[in-house]
Amino acid sequence: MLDKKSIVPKQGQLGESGPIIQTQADSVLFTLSPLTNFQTANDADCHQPRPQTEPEPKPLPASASNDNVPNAPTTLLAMHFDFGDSSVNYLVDLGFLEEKYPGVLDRLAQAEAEAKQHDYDPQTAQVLQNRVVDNPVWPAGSTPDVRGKITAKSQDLRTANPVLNSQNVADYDFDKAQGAAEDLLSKMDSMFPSDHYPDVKMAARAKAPASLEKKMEKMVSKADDFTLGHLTDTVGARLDCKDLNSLSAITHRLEEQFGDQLVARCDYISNPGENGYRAIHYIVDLGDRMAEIQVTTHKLRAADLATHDTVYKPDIPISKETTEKIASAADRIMFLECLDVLGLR
Amino acid sequence: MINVVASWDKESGRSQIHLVLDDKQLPAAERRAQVVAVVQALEAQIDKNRVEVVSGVARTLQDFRDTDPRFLHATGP
Repeated sequence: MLDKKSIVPKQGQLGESGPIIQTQADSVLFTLSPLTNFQTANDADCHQPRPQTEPEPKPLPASASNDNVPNAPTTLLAMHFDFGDSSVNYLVDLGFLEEKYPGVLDRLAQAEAEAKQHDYDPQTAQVLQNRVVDNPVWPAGSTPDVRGKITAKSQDLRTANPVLNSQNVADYDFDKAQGAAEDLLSKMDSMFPSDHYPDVKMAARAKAPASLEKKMEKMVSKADDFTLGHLTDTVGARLDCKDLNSLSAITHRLEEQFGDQLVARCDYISNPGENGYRAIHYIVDLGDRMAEIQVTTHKLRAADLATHDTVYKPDIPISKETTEKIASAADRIMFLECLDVLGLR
Repeated sequence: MINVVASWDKESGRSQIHLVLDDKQLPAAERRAQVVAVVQALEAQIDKNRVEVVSGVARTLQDFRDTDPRFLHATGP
Protein backbone atom coordinates (compact mmCIF):
# COMPACT_ATOMS: atom_id res chain seq x y z
CA MET A 1 0.00 0.00 0.00
CA LEU A 2 1.14 3.49 -0.73
CA ASP A 3 2.50 5.25 2.26
CA LYS A 4 0.57 8.44 1.84
CA LYS A 5 2.87 10.22 4.26
CA SER A 6 5.58 9.94 1.66
CA ILE A 7 3.62 11.99 -0.81
CA VAL A 8 4.85 15.51 -0.89
CA PRO A 9 4.15 17.90 -3.71
CA LYS A 10 7.25 19.25 -5.32
CA GLN A 11 8.40 22.57 -3.99
CA GLY A 12 7.57 25.45 -6.26
CA GLN A 13 4.10 24.50 -7.19
CA LEU A 14 1.55 22.29 -5.64
CA GLY A 15 1.42 19.07 -7.57
CA GLU A 16 3.92 20.24 -10.13
CA SER A 17 5.43 17.44 -12.15
CA GLY A 18 8.43 15.89 -10.50
CA PRO A 19 10.26 12.59 -10.38
CA ILE A 20 8.10 9.51 -10.29
CA ILE A 21 7.49 8.21 -6.86
CA GLN A 22 8.51 4.59 -6.36
CA THR A 23 5.60 2.88 -4.80
CA GLN A 24 3.41 -0.18 -4.90
CA ALA A 25 0.93 1.61 -7.03
CA ASP A 26 -1.29 -1.39 -7.51
CA SER A 27 -2.43 -1.50 -3.95
CA VAL A 28 -3.03 2.12 -3.16
CA LEU A 29 -6.22 3.42 -1.73
CA PHE A 30 -6.90 5.62 -4.71
CA THR A 31 -7.21 5.12 -8.39
CA LEU A 32 -3.90 6.64 -9.21
CA SER A 33 -3.39 8.59 -12.35
CA PRO A 34 0.06 8.19 -13.86
CA LEU A 35 2.38 9.01 -11.03
CA THR A 36 4.20 11.90 -12.54
CA ASN A 37 3.51 14.50 -9.94
CA PHE A 38 5.32 13.39 -6.87
CA GLN A 39 8.56 13.10 -5.16
CA THR A 40 9.23 10.98 -2.16
CA ALA A 41 9.72 12.79 1.09
CA ASN A 42 13.34 11.71 0.96
CA ASP A 43 14.12 13.62 -2.20
CA ALA A 44 16.66 16.27 -1.46
CA ASP A 45 14.80 19.22 -2.87
CA CYS A 46 11.52 18.45 -1.18
CA HIS A 47 10.40 20.73 1.53
CA GLN A 48 10.44 19.32 5.00
CA PRO A 49 7.00 18.28 6.04
CA ARG A 50 5.96 18.85 9.60
CA PRO A 51 5.52 15.32 10.88
CA GLN A 52 6.06 16.31 14.48
CA THR A 53 3.02 18.49 14.40
CA GLU A 54 0.90 16.18 12.29
CA PRO A 55 -2.56 16.82 13.62
CA GLU A 56 -4.77 13.92 14.38
CA PRO A 57 -7.21 13.30 11.56
CA LYS A 58 -10.50 14.95 12.32
CA PRO A 59 -12.98 12.10 12.56
CA LEU A 60 -16.46 12.71 11.33
CA PRO A 61 -19.33 10.97 13.02
CA ALA A 62 -20.81 8.00 11.27
CA SER A 63 -23.88 9.97 10.36
CA ALA A 64 -21.78 12.46 8.49
CA SER A 65 -19.34 10.15 6.84
CA ASN A 66 -21.75 7.56 5.54
CA ASP A 67 -24.89 9.37 4.58
CA ASN A 68 -25.56 10.90 1.26
CA VAL A 69 -25.45 14.57 1.98
CA PRO A 70 -28.31 15.71 -0.18
CA ASN A 71 -31.05 13.76 1.48
CA ALA A 72 -34.77 13.95 1.15
CA PRO A 73 -36.00 17.43 0.34
CA THR A 74 -37.43 17.89 3.78
CA THR A 75 -34.14 17.37 5.56
CA LEU A 76 -33.13 20.37 7.57
CA LEU A 77 -29.55 21.47 7.47
CA ALA A 78 -28.14 23.60 10.21
CA MET A 79 -25.32 26.01 9.78
CA HIS A 80 -23.24 27.99 12.12
CA PHE A 81 -21.55 31.20 11.08
CA ASP A 82 -18.81 32.64 13.21
CA PHE A 83 -18.10 36.29 12.60
CA GLY A 84 -15.30 36.51 15.13
CA ASP A 85 -17.10 38.66 17.62
CA SER A 86 -20.48 37.11 17.04
CA SER A 87 -22.06 34.01 15.62
CA VAL A 88 -25.41 32.94 14.33
CA ASN A 89 -27.14 29.66 13.65
CA TYR A 90 -29.40 29.00 10.70
CA LEU A 91 -31.64 26.16 9.71
CA VAL A 92 -32.10 25.46 6.06
CA ASP A 93 -34.55 23.15 4.41
CA LEU A 94 -32.80 21.21 1.68
CA GLY A 95 -35.82 21.36 -0.59
CA PHE A 96 -35.88 25.08 -0.09
CA LEU A 97 -32.18 25.16 -0.79
CA GLU A 98 -32.69 23.38 -4.10
CA GLU A 99 -35.43 25.82 -4.99
CA LYS A 100 -33.17 28.75 -4.26
CA TYR A 101 -30.09 27.36 -5.91
CA PRO A 102 -31.20 25.13 -8.76
CA GLY A 103 -28.73 22.34 -9.20
CA VAL A 104 -27.00 22.73 -5.87
CA LEU A 105 -28.07 19.34 -4.58
CA ASP A 106 -26.99 17.73 -7.83
CA ARG A 107 -23.59 19.34 -7.50
CA LEU A 108 -23.19 18.19 -3.93
CA ALA A 109 -24.42 14.71 -4.85
CA GLN A 110 -21.93 14.62 -7.69
CA ALA A 111 -19.13 15.50 -5.30
CA GLU A 112 -20.35 12.83 -2.93
CA ALA A 113 -20.37 10.20 -5.67
CA GLU A 114 -16.98 11.24 -7.04
CA ALA A 115 -15.44 11.20 -3.59
CA LYS A 116 -16.89 7.75 -2.99
CA GLN A 117 -15.35 6.51 -6.21
CA HIS A 118 -12.01 7.53 -4.83
CA ASP A 119 -12.56 5.77 -1.51
CA TYR A 120 -13.21 8.90 0.46
CA ASP A 121 -12.70 8.59 4.13
CA PRO A 122 -12.27 11.46 6.58
CA GLN A 123 -8.85 10.38 7.80
CA THR A 124 -7.40 10.10 4.30
CA ALA A 125 -8.98 13.41 3.38
CA GLN A 126 -7.32 15.02 6.37
CA VAL A 127 -3.95 13.49 5.52
CA LEU A 128 -4.21 14.78 1.95
CA GLN A 129 -5.26 18.22 3.10
CA ASN A 130 -2.26 18.29 5.43
CA ARG A 131 -0.03 17.36 2.48
CA VAL A 132 -1.38 20.31 0.55
CA VAL A 133 -1.30 22.92 3.26
CA ASP A 134 2.08 21.79 4.60
CA ASN A 135 3.67 22.62 1.28
CA PRO A 136 5.78 25.77 1.50
CA VAL A 137 3.97 27.31 -1.45
CA TRP A 138 0.69 27.16 0.40
CA PRO A 139 -0.39 30.50 1.86
CA ALA A 140 -0.38 28.84 5.22
CA GLY A 141 -2.14 30.01 8.25
CA SER A 142 -3.97 33.03 9.47
CA THR A 143 -2.33 36.23 10.57
CA PRO A 144 -1.75 36.16 14.31
CA ASP A 145 -4.17 38.37 16.23
CA VAL A 146 -6.41 39.17 13.27
CA ARG A 147 -8.87 41.08 15.43
CA GLY A 148 -6.13 43.16 17.00
CA LYS A 149 -4.74 44.09 13.60
CA ILE A 150 -8.17 45.06 12.30
CA THR A 151 -8.84 47.13 15.40
CA ALA A 152 -5.51 48.93 15.03
CA LYS A 153 -6.17 49.64 11.36
CA SER A 154 -9.66 50.85 12.17
CA GLN A 155 -8.16 53.28 14.68
CA ASP A 156 -5.77 54.60 12.02
CA LEU A 157 -8.58 55.08 9.54
CA ARG A 158 -10.83 56.83 12.06
CA THR A 159 -8.03 59.16 13.10
CA ALA A 160 -7.37 60.10 9.48
CA ASN A 161 -11.06 60.42 8.63
CA PRO A 162 -13.20 61.42 11.63
CA VAL A 163 -16.49 60.77 9.82
CA LEU A 164 -15.68 57.09 10.27
CA ASN A 165 -16.22 57.57 14.01
CA SER A 166 -19.91 57.93 13.23
CA GLN A 167 -22.54 55.30 13.88
CA ASN A 168 -24.99 57.15 11.71
CA VAL A 169 -25.67 55.27 8.49
CA ALA A 170 -26.44 58.59 6.80
CA ASP A 171 -22.71 59.23 6.96
CA TYR A 172 -22.06 56.22 4.75
CA ASP A 173 -21.11 57.43 1.30
CA PHE A 174 -22.43 54.71 -1.00
CA ASP A 175 -21.24 56.45 -4.13
CA LYS A 176 -17.72 56.57 -2.74
CA ALA A 177 -17.91 52.92 -1.72
CA GLN A 178 -18.97 52.14 -5.27
CA GLY A 179 -15.87 53.91 -6.55
CA ALA A 180 -13.69 51.98 -4.11
CA ALA A 181 -15.19 48.70 -5.32
CA GLU A 182 -14.47 49.66 -8.92
CA ASP A 183 -10.90 50.58 -8.05
CA LEU A 184 -10.42 47.30 -6.21
CA LEU A 185 -11.72 45.30 -9.17
CA SER A 186 -9.49 47.25 -11.56
CA LYS A 187 -6.49 46.50 -9.39
CA MET A 188 -7.34 42.82 -9.22
CA ASP A 189 -7.97 42.79 -12.97
CA SER A 190 -4.52 44.23 -13.61
CA MET A 191 -3.00 41.59 -11.33
CA PHE A 192 -4.86 38.75 -13.00
CA PRO A 193 -5.69 39.74 -16.57
CA SER A 194 -8.13 37.36 -18.20
CA ASP A 195 -5.80 36.53 -21.09
CA HIS A 196 -3.23 35.15 -18.64
CA TYR A 197 -5.70 33.85 -16.06
CA PRO A 198 -8.67 32.67 -18.14
CA ASP A 199 -10.06 30.50 -15.36
CA VAL A 200 -10.10 33.21 -12.73
CA LYS A 201 -13.47 34.77 -12.01
CA MET A 202 -13.69 37.94 -10.01
CA ALA A 203 -16.23 40.47 -8.84
CA ALA A 204 -16.43 43.19 -6.23
CA ARG A 205 -19.33 44.92 -4.57
CA ALA A 206 -20.12 47.89 -2.42
CA LYS A 207 -22.45 47.32 0.47
CA ALA A 208 -25.82 48.80 -0.35
CA PRO A 209 -27.22 51.27 2.20
CA ALA A 210 -29.93 48.95 3.57
CA SER A 211 -27.43 46.14 4.11
CA LEU A 212 -25.12 48.56 5.84
CA GLU A 213 -27.94 49.73 8.07
CA LYS A 214 -28.75 46.18 9.10
CA LYS A 215 -25.12 45.41 9.75
CA MET A 216 -24.63 48.53 11.84
CA GLU A 217 -27.75 47.80 13.88
CA LYS A 218 -26.49 44.32 14.58
CA MET A 219 -22.94 45.34 15.43
CA VAL A 220 -23.90 48.32 17.58
CA SER A 221 -26.27 46.11 19.54
CA LYS A 222 -23.27 43.95 20.37
CA ALA A 223 -20.72 46.69 20.94
CA ASP A 224 -22.02 50.18 21.58
CA ASP A 225 -18.77 51.80 20.44
CA PHE A 226 -18.90 50.14 17.01
CA THR A 227 -18.57 52.71 14.21
CA LEU A 228 -18.46 52.87 10.44
CA GLY A 229 -14.68 52.76 10.70
CA HIS A 230 -14.79 49.30 12.24
CA LEU A 231 -16.45 47.77 9.20
CA THR A 232 -14.23 45.63 7.00
CA ASP A 233 -16.77 44.83 4.32
CA THR A 234 -18.31 48.00 2.95
CA VAL A 235 -16.34 46.85 -0.06
CA GLY A 236 -15.77 43.18 -0.77
CA ALA A 237 -14.36 41.11 -3.58
CA ARG A 238 -14.37 37.49 -4.58
CA LEU A 239 -11.81 35.74 -6.65
CA ASP A 240 -12.51 32.17 -7.70
CA CYS A 241 -9.73 30.00 -9.13
CA LYS A 242 -9.61 26.83 -11.14
CA ASP A 243 -8.04 24.68 -8.46
CA LEU A 244 -5.81 24.72 -5.39
CA ASN A 245 -2.68 25.09 -7.52
CA SER A 246 -4.10 28.19 -9.07
CA LEU A 247 -5.31 29.43 -5.69
CA SER A 248 -1.83 29.04 -4.26
CA ALA A 249 -0.23 31.01 -7.08
CA ILE A 250 -2.90 33.68 -7.03
CA THR A 251 -2.80 34.27 -3.31
CA HIS A 252 0.99 34.66 -3.46
CA ARG A 253 0.68 37.21 -6.20
CA LEU A 254 -2.12 38.98 -4.45
CA GLU A 255 -0.10 39.23 -1.22
CA GLU A 256 2.92 40.45 -3.13
CA GLN A 257 0.92 43.10 -4.96
CA PHE A 258 -1.01 44.38 -1.97
CA GLY A 259 2.12 44.38 0.17
CA ASP A 260 1.74 46.75 3.11
CA GLN A 261 -1.94 47.19 2.32
CA LEU A 262 -2.61 43.72 3.68
CA VAL A 263 -4.06 43.96 7.15
CA ALA A 264 -4.77 40.31 7.81
CA ARG A 265 -5.23 36.90 6.26
CA CYS A 266 -7.62 34.21 7.47
CA ASP A 267 -6.91 30.75 6.15
CA TYR A 268 -10.23 28.92 6.23
CA ILE A 269 -8.86 26.21 3.98
CA SER A 270 -6.28 24.89 6.40
CA ASN A 271 -8.78 25.51 9.18
CA PRO A 272 -12.27 25.28 7.72
CA GLY A 273 -15.25 26.59 9.56
CA GLU A 274 -17.59 24.29 11.37
CA ASN A 275 -19.86 24.28 8.32
CA GLY A 276 -16.96 23.26 6.09
CA TYR A 277 -16.62 26.65 4.44
CA ARG A 278 -13.22 26.96 2.82
CA ALA A 279 -11.55 30.06 1.40
CA ILE A 280 -8.67 32.39 2.07
CA HIS A 281 -9.88 35.77 3.29
CA TYR A 282 -7.85 38.93 3.19
CA ILE A 283 -8.55 42.24 4.86
CA VAL A 284 -6.86 44.99 2.88
CA ASP A 285 -6.44 48.69 3.54
CA LEU A 286 -7.83 50.79 0.70
CA GLY A 287 -6.79 54.07 2.30
CA ASP A 288 -10.24 55.29 3.25
CA ARG A 289 -11.63 51.96 4.42
CA MET A 290 -10.89 48.28 4.82
CA ALA A 291 -12.12 45.76 2.31
CA GLU A 292 -12.42 42.01 2.33
CA ILE A 293 -11.19 39.76 -0.47
CA GLN A 294 -12.27 36.12 -0.52
CA VAL A 295 -10.30 33.64 -2.61
CA THR A 296 -11.49 30.12 -3.23
CA THR A 297 -11.88 27.57 -6.03
CA HIS A 298 -14.81 26.98 -8.34
CA LYS A 299 -15.49 23.61 -6.74
CA LEU A 300 -15.32 24.94 -3.21
CA ARG A 301 -17.67 27.72 -4.24
CA ALA A 302 -20.16 24.95 -4.98
CA ALA A 303 -19.97 23.94 -1.35
CA ASP A 304 -20.42 27.56 -0.43
CA LEU A 305 -23.71 27.39 -2.31
CA ALA A 306 -25.04 25.41 0.57
CA THR A 307 -23.85 27.77 3.23
CA HIS A 308 -24.32 31.19 1.79
CA ASP A 309 -27.24 33.36 2.75
CA THR A 310 -29.57 30.46 3.04
CA VAL A 311 -31.22 31.94 6.05
CA TYR A 312 -34.47 30.22 6.69
CA LYS A 313 -35.37 30.18 10.33
CA PRO A 314 -32.74 31.94 12.35
CA ASP A 315 -32.41 31.39 16.06
CA ILE A 316 -33.65 27.83 16.03
CA PRO A 317 -31.34 25.58 18.00
CA ILE A 318 -29.32 23.31 15.77
CA SER A 319 -28.07 19.81 16.23
CA LYS A 320 -24.42 18.97 15.82
CA GLU A 321 -25.34 16.16 13.49
CA THR A 322 -26.92 18.41 10.90
CA THR A 323 -24.07 20.89 11.09
CA GLU A 324 -21.67 18.07 10.39
CA LYS A 325 -23.73 16.94 7.47
CA ILE A 326 -23.22 20.06 5.46
CA ALA A 327 -19.59 20.18 6.53
CA SER A 328 -19.14 16.67 5.20
CA ALA A 329 -20.18 17.81 1.71
CA ALA A 330 -17.54 20.51 1.81
CA ASP A 331 -15.02 18.00 3.15
CA ARG A 332 -15.65 15.74 0.16
CA ILE A 333 -15.23 18.57 -2.28
CA MET A 334 -11.96 19.49 -0.59
CA PHE A 335 -10.91 15.85 -0.84
CA LEU A 336 -11.48 15.98 -4.60
CA GLU A 337 -9.51 19.22 -4.82
CA CYS A 338 -6.64 17.56 -2.97
CA LEU A 339 -6.75 14.52 -5.25
CA ASP A 340 -6.54 16.87 -8.22
CA VAL A 341 -3.72 19.01 -6.93
CA LEU A 342 -1.74 15.98 -5.83
CA GLY A 343 -2.36 14.28 -9.18
CA LEU A 344 -4.16 11.37 -7.62
CA ARG A 345 -7.00 11.15 -10.10
CA MET B 1 -15.93 46.34 -16.54
CA ILE B 2 -19.61 46.37 -15.77
CA ASN B 3 -21.70 47.64 -12.90
CA VAL B 4 -24.55 45.40 -11.83
CA VAL B 5 -27.48 46.01 -9.55
CA ALA B 6 -29.28 42.85 -8.49
CA SER B 7 -31.68 41.75 -5.80
CA TRP B 8 -32.11 38.56 -3.88
CA ASP B 9 -35.24 37.48 -2.07
CA LYS B 10 -34.03 35.21 0.65
CA GLU B 11 -37.48 33.78 1.32
CA SER B 12 -38.42 32.81 -2.21
CA GLY B 13 -34.88 32.35 -3.52
CA ARG B 14 -35.81 34.58 -6.44
CA SER B 15 -33.04 36.74 -7.80
CA GLN B 16 -33.18 39.44 -10.38
CA ILE B 17 -30.68 41.57 -12.22
CA HIS B 18 -32.02 45.09 -12.55
CA LEU B 19 -29.24 47.05 -14.15
CA VAL B 20 -26.07 46.35 -16.11
CA LEU B 21 -23.88 49.22 -17.23
CA ASP B 22 -20.76 48.89 -19.32
CA ASP B 23 -17.87 51.22 -18.60
CA LYS B 24 -17.20 51.41 -22.33
CA GLN B 25 -20.51 53.17 -22.80
CA LEU B 26 -20.78 55.45 -19.80
CA PRO B 27 -18.31 57.51 -17.80
CA ALA B 28 -17.70 56.48 -14.21
CA ALA B 29 -19.59 59.32 -12.54
CA GLU B 30 -22.69 58.71 -14.62
CA ARG B 31 -22.55 54.97 -14.08
CA ARG B 32 -22.29 55.36 -10.36
CA ALA B 33 -25.08 57.93 -10.28
CA GLN B 34 -27.36 55.49 -12.09
CA VAL B 35 -26.37 52.67 -9.76
CA VAL B 36 -27.07 54.78 -6.69
CA ALA B 37 -30.44 55.86 -8.08
CA VAL B 38 -31.52 52.30 -8.90
CA VAL B 39 -30.34 50.94 -5.55
CA GLN B 40 -32.18 53.70 -3.69
CA ALA B 41 -35.34 53.12 -5.71
CA LEU B 42 -35.23 49.39 -5.05
CA GLU B 43 -34.50 49.76 -1.37
CA ALA B 44 -37.45 52.12 -1.04
CA GLN B 45 -39.76 49.38 -2.32
CA ILE B 46 -38.53 46.22 -0.71
CA ASP B 47 -38.91 44.52 2.63
CA LYS B 48 -35.34 44.98 3.79
CA ASN B 49 -35.51 41.99 6.07
CA ARG B 50 -36.40 39.80 3.15
CA VAL B 51 -34.75 41.23 0.08
CA GLU B 52 -31.12 42.24 -0.29
CA VAL B 53 -30.01 44.63 -2.99
CA VAL B 54 -26.51 44.00 -4.27
CA SER B 55 -24.38 46.48 -6.14
CA GLY B 56 -21.50 44.79 -7.87
CA VAL B 57 -18.74 45.32 -10.39
CA ALA B 58 -17.26 42.58 -12.52
CA ARG B 59 -15.45 42.02 -15.75
CA THR B 60 -18.47 40.26 -17.19
CA LEU B 61 -22.00 39.45 -16.12
CA GLN B 62 -21.01 35.78 -16.06
CA ASP B 63 -18.25 36.56 -13.57
CA PHE B 64 -20.78 38.32 -11.40
CA ARG B 65 -23.10 35.31 -11.55
CA ASP B 66 -20.37 32.73 -11.02
CA THR B 67 -18.87 34.41 -7.99
CA ASP B 68 -22.21 34.89 -6.28
CA PRO B 69 -24.27 31.73 -6.66
CA ARG B 70 -27.41 33.54 -5.61
CA PHE B 71 -27.48 35.14 -9.05
CA LEU B 72 -26.51 32.13 -11.12
CA HIS B 73 -30.04 31.87 -12.46
CA ALA B 74 -31.17 35.42 -11.92
CA THR B 75 -33.66 36.84 -14.37
CA GLY B 76 -33.23 40.15 -16.16
CA PRO B 77 -32.24 42.77 -16.83
